[in-house]
Amino acid sequence: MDAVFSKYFRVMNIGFQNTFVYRWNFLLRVLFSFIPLMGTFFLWGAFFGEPSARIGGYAFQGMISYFLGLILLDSLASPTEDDLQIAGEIRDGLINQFLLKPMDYLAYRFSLFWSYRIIYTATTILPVLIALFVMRDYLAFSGRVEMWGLALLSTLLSATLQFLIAYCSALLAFWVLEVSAPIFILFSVEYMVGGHMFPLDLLPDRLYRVVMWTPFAYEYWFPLGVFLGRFGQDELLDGFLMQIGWCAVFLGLARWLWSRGIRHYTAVGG
Amino acid sequence: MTRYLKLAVALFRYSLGRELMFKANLILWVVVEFLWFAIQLALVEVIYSHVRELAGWNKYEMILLIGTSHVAQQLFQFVFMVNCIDLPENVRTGKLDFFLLQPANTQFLASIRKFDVGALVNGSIGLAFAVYAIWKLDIHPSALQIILYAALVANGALIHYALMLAIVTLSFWIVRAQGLVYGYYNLFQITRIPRDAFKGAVKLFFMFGLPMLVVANYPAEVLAKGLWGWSILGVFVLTFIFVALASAWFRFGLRFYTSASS
Repeated sequence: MDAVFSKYFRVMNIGFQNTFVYRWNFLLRVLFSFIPLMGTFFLWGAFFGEPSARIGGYAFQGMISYFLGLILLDSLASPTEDDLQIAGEIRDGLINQFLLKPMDYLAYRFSLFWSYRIIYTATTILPVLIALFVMRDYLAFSGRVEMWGLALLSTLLSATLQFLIAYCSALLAFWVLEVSAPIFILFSVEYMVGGHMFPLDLLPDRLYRVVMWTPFAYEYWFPLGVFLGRFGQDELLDGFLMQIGWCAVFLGLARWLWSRGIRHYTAVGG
Repeated sequence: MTRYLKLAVALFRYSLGRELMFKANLILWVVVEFLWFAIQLALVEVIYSHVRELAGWNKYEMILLIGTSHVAQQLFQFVFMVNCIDLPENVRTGKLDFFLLQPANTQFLASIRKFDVGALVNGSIGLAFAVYAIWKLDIHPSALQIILYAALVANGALIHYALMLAIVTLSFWIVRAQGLVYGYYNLFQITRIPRDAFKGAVKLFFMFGLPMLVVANYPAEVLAKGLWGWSILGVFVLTFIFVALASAWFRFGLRFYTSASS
């Protein structure tokens, strides 16, 4: 067991080193990700008009907290280019070595995913703390400690779900040569239905209930809703069950796609 | 000048032929861009289901702004974007050597070598929504307003170009600059917000530092709010300065190009 863990810890270590090779590229990318926050702040500021207004069950503070939380969630849980890299490795024949070694490709990619997330979060933590300080008057996070624990749990589940969805979409590369367009199509759906543009409970009630059956709502909206204390006890229980359920579905799908894909795969390259 | 025009036409024909070889891919990318545009429209729909006005803009004025922003962005993508994205990789791999050896201006070749044909389709979709919004707003623009609108949209595309060129020029020093390029996508979001929503130093920054609030707000205001006056001339001057500075910065960066491999 120890040997298995140390193997994948070593993969994570390699992931850390890879990121540091192009540290400027990485750092600038992180800094750029804060620009939309300014746009969001002013857009929703205009939406509320005056600071005391409440619209759709939100005050301005709640909305800004939502988007600040989203930046944290993005850095902790959202894959960046993992899908494109996996597709590239399949296309270029780089997965050949995993067919010959005692290493599980899914676990290998999951370790790399976490190494990147850890560095990304470590890099964003300072700008996020500064943003939290600057916007301290606009924050409305749940004050209950147990909710913070649940928010962390749902964030970890969200990371797993986001990774598995990205992994499954990348495995399309076994059948299609160029997968970036389908990946971006899926990404745009995740963005819209997942709550990346606005909190999903601003949607009309019927639409909201439909969206809550999709896996996308558990990528961004659910962990953020927990973070802001938007759910009652029953909704929390349902939400966690759905999140775990979708993780299981995509894990099964990932295993199935891999076994089918490998049979279809022609090893190229040296 | 005529020579460069002929060269641009030849490069466009080459790009068209190249893209049509992979029709399914072309269509898929059009779908991708359209979906991102649709996300913006969905946001407008959600916002205006709760409020009547946002920073003095009603729903259809907002659709006009978003449509205009999309047209300017797609125009930029049609001519410049792919080439700007390629520059860091061309620098890293040493492929820029081939541009330097051609008997034409290097910045010209590095900026418009490939045309993104799909962006033309997406630009048309953005324009269709802008026209729809004008119709719903019952606006009857004069010929002069339409010309000014078109000129300001083209001006918006040039602002994107100047900033993007300035950003990718950093790749002469930072070997891998993809992070910068993708970061630029974040800036597009600012262009779709009414400038009156911004206040204080941030507004000044996005008007004169990174003039994202000039790209679509001005052309949309010409039609929706009857904007007129010296400020429009100021916008053209501002863009000229930005393009000239970006161009000088690119030439400076080029002096640090060291090629790669053999």
